[in-house]
Amino acid sequence: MRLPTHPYSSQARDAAMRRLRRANRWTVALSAALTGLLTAVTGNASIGKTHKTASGLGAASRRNAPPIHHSMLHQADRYPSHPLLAPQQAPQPARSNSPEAEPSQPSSAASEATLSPTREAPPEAAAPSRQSSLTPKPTHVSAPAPEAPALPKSAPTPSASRLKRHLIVSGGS
Amino acid sequence: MSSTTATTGGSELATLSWEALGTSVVVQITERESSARARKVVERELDAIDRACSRFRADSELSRVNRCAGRIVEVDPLLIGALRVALRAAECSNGDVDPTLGSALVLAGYDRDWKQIADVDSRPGDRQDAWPARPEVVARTIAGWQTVEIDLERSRVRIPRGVQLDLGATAKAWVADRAAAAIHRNLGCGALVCLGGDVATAGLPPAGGWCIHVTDDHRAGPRAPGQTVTIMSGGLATSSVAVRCWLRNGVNMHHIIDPATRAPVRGRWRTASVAAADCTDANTATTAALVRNRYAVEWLKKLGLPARLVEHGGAIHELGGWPAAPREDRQAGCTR
Repeated sequence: MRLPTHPYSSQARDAAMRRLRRANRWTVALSAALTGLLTAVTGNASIGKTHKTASGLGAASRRNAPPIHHSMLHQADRYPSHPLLAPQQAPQPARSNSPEAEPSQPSSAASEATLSPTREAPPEAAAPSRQSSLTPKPTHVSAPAPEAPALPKSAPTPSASRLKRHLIVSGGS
Repeated sequence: MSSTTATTGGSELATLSWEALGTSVVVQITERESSARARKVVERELDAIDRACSRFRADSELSRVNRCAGRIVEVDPLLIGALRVALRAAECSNGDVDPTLGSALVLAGYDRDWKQIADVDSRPGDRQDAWPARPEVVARTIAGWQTVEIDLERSRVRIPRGVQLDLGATAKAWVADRAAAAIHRNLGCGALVCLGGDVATAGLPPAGGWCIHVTDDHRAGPRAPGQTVTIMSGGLATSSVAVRCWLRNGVNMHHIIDPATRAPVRGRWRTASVAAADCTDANTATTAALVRNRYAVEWLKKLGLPARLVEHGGAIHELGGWPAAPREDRQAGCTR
């Protein structure tokens, strides 16, 4: 025969503790699941992440706006970005008969101190040798001159004066 | 438009030049007979990009997005493309080339087409009177490139309130790449397109390569102090704080903005030239180099980009295989 348990007995306390532990476990499990769910929902629903590294800066402006989907953004060919790409071949120096080497340059104001900048990289030897097989070998643009070596091609070469008219200028704009 | 031709390596090199987008356009192709068609191809590209990306045209797609800041705007896919290029540049440069600096440019005084600014500046007094004499405190939303929202599927864009887009740092180089590729694709010849000093190439180069003179100002001409190099492919760009300058309240301003200060860059370099796989990458690197100041050297070395950096004093630094300038060029470079 089972004795009636006193409301303040040790059995009643143990039973209550078991119930409490069970409730605690459920609470922890539910909160973890809810956190995961909310994270997934907000992650998918939040708009305007044009980049993986999108910060929270845009969150305020998104609050009252209809969602924009950007699912295709990350599938784009060059996007998200690869780093800036070097050319197949570094620029090559033009020959000495190029226009800038003609004696029309004003250079008297140059001081020796400013003529010896730190050299950050060795010239030409350090050029990356990623030239493709389709790319012609670099040659210097020059007019045929007695002391100048001939261009490797047998085709007629442009004269310096003619090339001068075709010299492209790259500068700030 | 001016046009000249020269024979190079058995084929005829034709050069066309005219003005568009507020700057100079120079096109070189390796087949003279295709000159007229090449020009049409380039003009079509320029017109399309102007209608999509101009900050100074009220009817452009970009102006519409700027006017509707805070709201979703359906735009031309070309603007979406230009925005993606600009955002990639921002990401690659860690935010140094930021397309959301339009309002900073306006604050600095670059609020209209450059020709108009130059015209006003040529009349002393007018430009200065337009600005308050006393220091002015203006609060603006500081929003970075990460806040630009793009919907590729529906071709829609939204920028936060207070943000103004400016694609000047990338759009010109991008359209140069597009135009050169379009010439090569449509006409089959080698092509070089130079837009305001940003050079893009496509197809086989002429014998000896494309000959380019690098200097501070692309309008200065080939006799200006600088260095002449040849490239076989890819792009080459130059950015300089010595050009496109104006005065505001007695302070020198220019068009290259530091996203950290939202003011014109005040750094070590006067001019940066970079060669890259295409003109867009080259131009991104030059702008970022000016913004990065002394850290640009390490950054460019790490990327392996051939570069030529000129200090304000004239000292020249060649990196990543950029050819050393002859002594006379180095001297000439120091005179500026």
